[in-house]
Amino acid sequence: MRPAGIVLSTALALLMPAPAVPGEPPLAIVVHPERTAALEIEDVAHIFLRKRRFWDDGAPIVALNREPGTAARAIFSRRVLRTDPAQLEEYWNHKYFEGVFPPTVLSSCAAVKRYVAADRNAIGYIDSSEVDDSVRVVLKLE
Amino acid sequence: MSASARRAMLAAVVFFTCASPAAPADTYPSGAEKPPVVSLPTPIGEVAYTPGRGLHVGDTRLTLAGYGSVNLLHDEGGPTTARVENVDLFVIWDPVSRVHLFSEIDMVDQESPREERRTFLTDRLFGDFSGFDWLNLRVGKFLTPVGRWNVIHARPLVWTTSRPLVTRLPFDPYVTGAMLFGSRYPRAGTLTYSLYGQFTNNFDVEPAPQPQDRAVGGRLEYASLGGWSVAGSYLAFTDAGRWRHLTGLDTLWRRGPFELWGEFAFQEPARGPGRQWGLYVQPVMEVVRRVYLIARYEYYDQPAPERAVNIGVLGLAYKPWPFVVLKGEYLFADRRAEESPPGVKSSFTVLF
Repeated sequence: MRPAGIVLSTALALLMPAPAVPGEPPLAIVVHPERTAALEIEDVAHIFLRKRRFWDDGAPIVALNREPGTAARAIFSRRVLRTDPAQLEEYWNHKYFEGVFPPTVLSSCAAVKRYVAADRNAIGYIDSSEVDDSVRVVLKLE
Repeated sequence: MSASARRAMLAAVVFFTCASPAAPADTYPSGAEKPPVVSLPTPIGEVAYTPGRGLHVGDTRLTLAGYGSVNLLHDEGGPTTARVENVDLFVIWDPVSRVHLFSEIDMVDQESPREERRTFLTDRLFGDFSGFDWLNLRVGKFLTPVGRWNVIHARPLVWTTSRPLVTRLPFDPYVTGAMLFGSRYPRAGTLTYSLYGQFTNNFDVEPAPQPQDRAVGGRLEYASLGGWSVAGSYLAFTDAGRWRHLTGLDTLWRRGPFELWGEFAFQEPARGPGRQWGLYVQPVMEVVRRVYLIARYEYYDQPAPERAVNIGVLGLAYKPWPFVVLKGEYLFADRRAEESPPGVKSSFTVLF
């Protein structure tokens, strides 16, 4: 393969989300229905790593995580953040030294959906089967 | 039993009755990835402690945190010493979403057995005021953004007890002044800049190899979501009235159980002799779960009459929990350098 082809293949591998494992439930990244911004998977990763903290309109982003150890959290970390739990723990330890903490953790998809439906600045992820008109899907992980 | 002892016992009974292991709830305290181990309902909200993530004080948006480190050192040809190297307290307050207030107080600080033990030193004290992701202002005393090690130098966050010379000798680890910083997001990564200046003497200064009275600098880093980053730093500062210039490069690369750190810095006066430069390369490998093998090569060339030194470090680190690290290493050198004597270095470190 020519060098240009190798570079292109590597870039595409970095840009594409990690592939789904057969049998994994699809996840939906959801925001409040009034928020119309389009988000790419890299935008979501930056948000949940607290590297990006504001929406385009300047409002502070409220990112909502599921509990560590849940299937949804494992899928999200693997496919969006592209990191394993140990590396993610180390990342947050480094951020802790700056006084920056991980996103708020909610204990159920229902809780995430309620929060996002009520807070225009919130973003979270839920099982695709739980999506209804109270939230808007910006990204699907299938 | 005296009346005061009875009151103390009663208070303890009340506390441990009310402060229970946290019951399942919809929301964890802000910043906690795991349920807190202890929580106490109070009029100001739930006060909860999570190991490695600090004590969250109810609804006040205040967090008390910190870290500690105990060392056991044996320099070649020297005594074996055990001591508390650091106990640092963080006070973190985010009163509103665009304001972040941070302080780090050195309750105990003795980096070397030969140094005087310092107590209650203000390592950091700053406020961040956020406008946009691409524009934020920091004012106060903060870590000099040169290289990678200096900005995360807390003992539980680095792999070895010893610190590379290039990360501490050629510049003051702290700046007292102001900094603009922010990030943009090219597709698969984050581009972060910082521009800073020091226009007063350092606040609550501790002895530093090259204290800076005036300084101006910048750093530009690209961090890929794919697990690697590269950055360049520049710093100009005064030392006894003379200007010095420093340029640096640093990189980090992670792939599965393997990571590689590297830094280079070159510092020289604006006029005359006195150049110094150095580098290190540090690969780290998780050999079995939670056990890491670390190797490091350093080179540092100081101004005459000091000679250049080559240093090698070989060690292991064990993380029984994410907030605890036990480290042990042996430092080799081709000559005995005062700043980095050869020998065995071990430590127990914990994030509170």
